[in-house]
Amino acid sequence: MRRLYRGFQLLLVLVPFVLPTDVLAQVCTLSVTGLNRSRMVYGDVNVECGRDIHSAPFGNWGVSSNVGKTQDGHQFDGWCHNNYVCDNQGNCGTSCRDGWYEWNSCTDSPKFSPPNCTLYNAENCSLQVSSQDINVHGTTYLNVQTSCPFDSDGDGACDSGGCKDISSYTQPNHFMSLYELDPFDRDDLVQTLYFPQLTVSLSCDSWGCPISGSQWAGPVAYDSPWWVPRVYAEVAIVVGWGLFRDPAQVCRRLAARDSRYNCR
Amino acid sequence: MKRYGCVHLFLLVLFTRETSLTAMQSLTLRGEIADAAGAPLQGDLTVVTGGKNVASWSLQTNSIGTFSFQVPEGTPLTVVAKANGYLSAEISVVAQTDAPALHFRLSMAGRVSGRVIDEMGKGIPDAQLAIRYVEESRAVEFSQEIADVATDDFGYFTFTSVARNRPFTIDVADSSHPLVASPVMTLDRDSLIGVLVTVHETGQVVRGRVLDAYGQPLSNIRVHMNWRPESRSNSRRRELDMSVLHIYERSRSTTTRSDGSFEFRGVAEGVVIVNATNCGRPVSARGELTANTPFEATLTLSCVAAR
Repeated sequence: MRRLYRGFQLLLVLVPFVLPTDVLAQVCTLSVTGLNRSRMVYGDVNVECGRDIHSAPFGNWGVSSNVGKTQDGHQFDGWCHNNYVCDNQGNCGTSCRDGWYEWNSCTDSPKFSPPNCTLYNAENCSLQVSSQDINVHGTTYLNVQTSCPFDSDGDGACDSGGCKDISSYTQPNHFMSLYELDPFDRDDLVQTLYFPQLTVSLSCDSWGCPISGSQWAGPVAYDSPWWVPRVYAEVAIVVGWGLFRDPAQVCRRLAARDSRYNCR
Repeated sequence: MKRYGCVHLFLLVLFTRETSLTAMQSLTLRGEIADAAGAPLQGDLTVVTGGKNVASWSLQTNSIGTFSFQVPEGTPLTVVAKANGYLSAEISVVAQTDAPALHFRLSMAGRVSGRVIDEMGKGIPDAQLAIRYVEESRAVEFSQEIADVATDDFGYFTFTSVARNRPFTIDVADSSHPLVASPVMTLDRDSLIGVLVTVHETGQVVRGRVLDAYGQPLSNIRVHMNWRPESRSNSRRRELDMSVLHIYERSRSTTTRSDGSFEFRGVAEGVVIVNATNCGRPVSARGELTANTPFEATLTLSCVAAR
């Protein structure tokens, strides 16, 4: 009977490592954020350049990625912000007045092509470089099942279990699909950028994880189209926090019966 | 020379065996993404595997919404599908030869807007809000679908990605109230407006002073508070522990005033540890916070205040 009870205890503790699922399971929640910087547009782009409701040539861009969805926000800031601009036919006016930092998304249109010092802000008026620093393009919460916090050497401190079960977080293929956002119509894809493997080493204790980040990395491949790079940016991922949660109090009940689970 | 050739051949055989072994152990999972009516959607998928080294990798569907990928047999994994303009969905499976195809049906999102007020009816600015679907648990959640919403200067908020016909609550965290949840509601049309969430002046106060080695007050010292729910918490409290906003009440910081005092308001019942750093060796104090008793602590650092 005692052996059966032990077996049940073992089952409770070993359930871990199966990603999700049970509403009541104990989990370590990781908050994973994607960051981008050094944004630049140098290829031919042509999205939402018609003479209709779109505000050609400038637009706010959003990002769909491993860590989030497109959003009308500061996901991929450009440089145009309340700027007085003139197209190549001499039509002038103030653009980018809706609070975002926008990109010229019609660079292959003769009306908006380089060189033009009001439509391009870098490299002899033929390149676009973001005027803003680091952007957040998304945050994901991962609920990873873990074992219960456990003290193996009897000093009262947890040596394993909880968030301490997790030592790293990896994205083998981070991607960013860039869209010109359109509140009235569907968003238009500019290009997808692929990045090399990004890994965050974690130094969690049983109850949580401090902030930790990966290295920055530039794109290694493109899609839509795959043969002509149009955009450059560097990305990094950050695990902002980790938090052990035991909503069904499975580990607490275990701690009441076995002092090794009653650790700090 | 001949021997070299043998070594090459051996390595080639070894490599080939290794490759075929790996190929034998992995299998292909297939599926498709469609809208609620079954029309195919082009989108992307994130595959998450747990364990000591958590990993998540991505792939895109083709233009008619179908996808396939290879994983080692026996791997437990979660697959999350998303497409622009739709709410994401996830399926957890163990990769097995008889695993069914992964059919994702994504639904359109609706809007929910309203206001967070205190018991006097005054709007609460800068409160953090999150949607939590009742008795549902996801392995992977996007902050744009459940959080990333704060009240404006007058306490107003809008969620733009709320699932329809699934009961949910709105969790609210702010710096002077315990985490609270709205009553359960359901979005059964395009939008729901005028939702009122009231936060009450409940919770306890954690206060104290930070002194130097001679008992003089230390100002501008960072004080950090860690909090854990009490062990006998009720089911409603345990539900709140699953909110992503739980992090806001688990860990808070402030700085001491000119008289060395500090204060955290609206702290729920539980175990509290406060610690002060930035001046001398860090010191901490631990205590139980109950409904009737606030927690007070004096933290004495080994440094000396500037005179």
